[in-house]
Amino acid sequence: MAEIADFMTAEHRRCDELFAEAEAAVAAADWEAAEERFEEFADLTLRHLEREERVLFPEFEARTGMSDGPTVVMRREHDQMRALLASMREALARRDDDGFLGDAETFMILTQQHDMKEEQVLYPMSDEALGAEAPTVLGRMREL
Amino acid sequence: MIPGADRLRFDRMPPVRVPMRAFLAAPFLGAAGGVLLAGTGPTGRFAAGLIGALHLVTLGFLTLVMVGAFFQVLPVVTGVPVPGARVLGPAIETGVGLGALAVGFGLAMGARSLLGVGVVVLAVAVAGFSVVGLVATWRARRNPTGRAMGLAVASLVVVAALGLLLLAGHAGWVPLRRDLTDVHLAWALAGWVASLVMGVSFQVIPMFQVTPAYPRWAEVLPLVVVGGLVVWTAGRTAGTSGIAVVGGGVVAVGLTAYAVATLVLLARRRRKLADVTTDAWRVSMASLAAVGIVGLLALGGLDGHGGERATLGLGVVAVFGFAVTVVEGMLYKIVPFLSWLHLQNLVTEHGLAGRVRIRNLRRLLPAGGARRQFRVHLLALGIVLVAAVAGGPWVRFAGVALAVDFALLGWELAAAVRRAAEDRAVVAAAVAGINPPPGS
Repeated sequence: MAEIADFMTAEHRRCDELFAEAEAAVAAADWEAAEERFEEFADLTLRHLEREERVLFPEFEARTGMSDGPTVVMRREHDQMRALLASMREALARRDDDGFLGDAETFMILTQQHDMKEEQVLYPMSDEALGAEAPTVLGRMREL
Repeated sequence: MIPGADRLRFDRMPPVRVPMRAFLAAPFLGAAGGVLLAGTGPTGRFAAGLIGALHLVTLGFLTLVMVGAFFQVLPVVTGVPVPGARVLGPAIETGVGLGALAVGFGLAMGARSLLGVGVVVLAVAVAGFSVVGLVATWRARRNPTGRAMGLAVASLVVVAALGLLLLAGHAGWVPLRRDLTDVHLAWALAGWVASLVMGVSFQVIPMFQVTPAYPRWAEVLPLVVVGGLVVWTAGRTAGTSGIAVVGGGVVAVGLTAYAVATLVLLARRRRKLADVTTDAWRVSMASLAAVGIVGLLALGGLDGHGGERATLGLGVVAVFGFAVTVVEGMLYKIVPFLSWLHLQNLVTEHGLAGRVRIRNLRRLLPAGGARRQFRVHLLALGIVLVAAVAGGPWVRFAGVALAVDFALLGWELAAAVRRAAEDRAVVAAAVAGINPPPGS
């Protein structure tokens, strides 16, 4: 009954772990490892956002009739995350640890308060609203 | 629409000024407590200056921040907004702040009319908060954080009822019941403060620190601790010391277990960067574990007769080591983040993303400033502890240390908000650039 919540929550945690590795590599000024870890982290994060924006949110909006509320806030925060990821990538290219770590801290807090809203409310409600169709929708999300 | 969907309105978050004004004012009320302690140099646990200064810290700093955070955190974590946050929030915060000042100075200076005004203002503010807080947490009861926050608000009702009875005694309206002081204190620290901290930590520790989740048994600890408080209170009231010892033991074990579980999680954190907030959690949890263990030993009669000095020392570790430290640590994060999010939303709203750059969190509140303030806090904690045990001139010195600790915190937070205001002016100029006023 919690297919979407379980999968997406686990993916949040995986993103967090990759984030922590990239952050640690920058703090240690190991720039090559940092770039590798950062790209791995950014790649999974962006794919996760796509899963939501292209599949989950449209389904959620269609089932609940809420197209002007929570998903608007979620999409806006996604855009803010993308902007921070771009800024972190630029800082990495400049080898600017202070700039990277400042953006990383900002990204972390923005993302965690965002994830709480999804994990505690939006995902469980999506599973509930989708009912028996949740596995099919999750399958479509995983294809991205 | 599916059931409960009406609650899910993240666009109905309280305006940023609701929690922010509480966060910015609170450190200066705490500093006023330090000034009061330095000015009166009280001796003894029941000295008026000490009770007054303590309440500026517990009401003016701790409770004011906790109330402000409650309005902000509950909707984020549970999707349930606090009813009336927009209008009642500022009114409740103003009431708690002014009430704390009137009660603190009224008690310390023996000014009965000031104390009377404070009692009434605080009673109204806390009653208002309790009603909206209980309604909101009842709606959020399916969430472990929502449940813990509900227990915290319920405990606050007990703290406030006993506090008002005691204050009425100080104001000379009813006989002063000194025997209720410990009950008031226990519900304040183990009920109101600890339940709220536990509830918030279940979310923020695993997520912000990148640690494993709290074990399932830890999520029931707020209920265990508050249940223990009920048993302890019933045992004391009935004069049945056996029952009181059992209840007190449950409270002490519950708090210690929670503190140790948190320290274990922090030791397994995946983020490796040194961070003041993380260090604040460590100091706070170590203090809580110490209070729990010493409390348990005292219950068992193993150290038993340390007397008033030992009680004061334990109180210092509970209030300043556990509660004040963790609240200061959280403020370092939440104040710059709320400033940043507010600005970032303005930028997005006006389609200025990529065209206007605003400062990130580290530039809003540089880590060096927070680290310096944290060191001052640890020093102040040490001095206050010495003052509790040694007394004498140390008490006034402790007051000065506390005033510096809180004022420096307030200064750092205000500087972050001032930097955000500079960026806001840049955003406003850019908005005016795209939408030039008619005729220009």
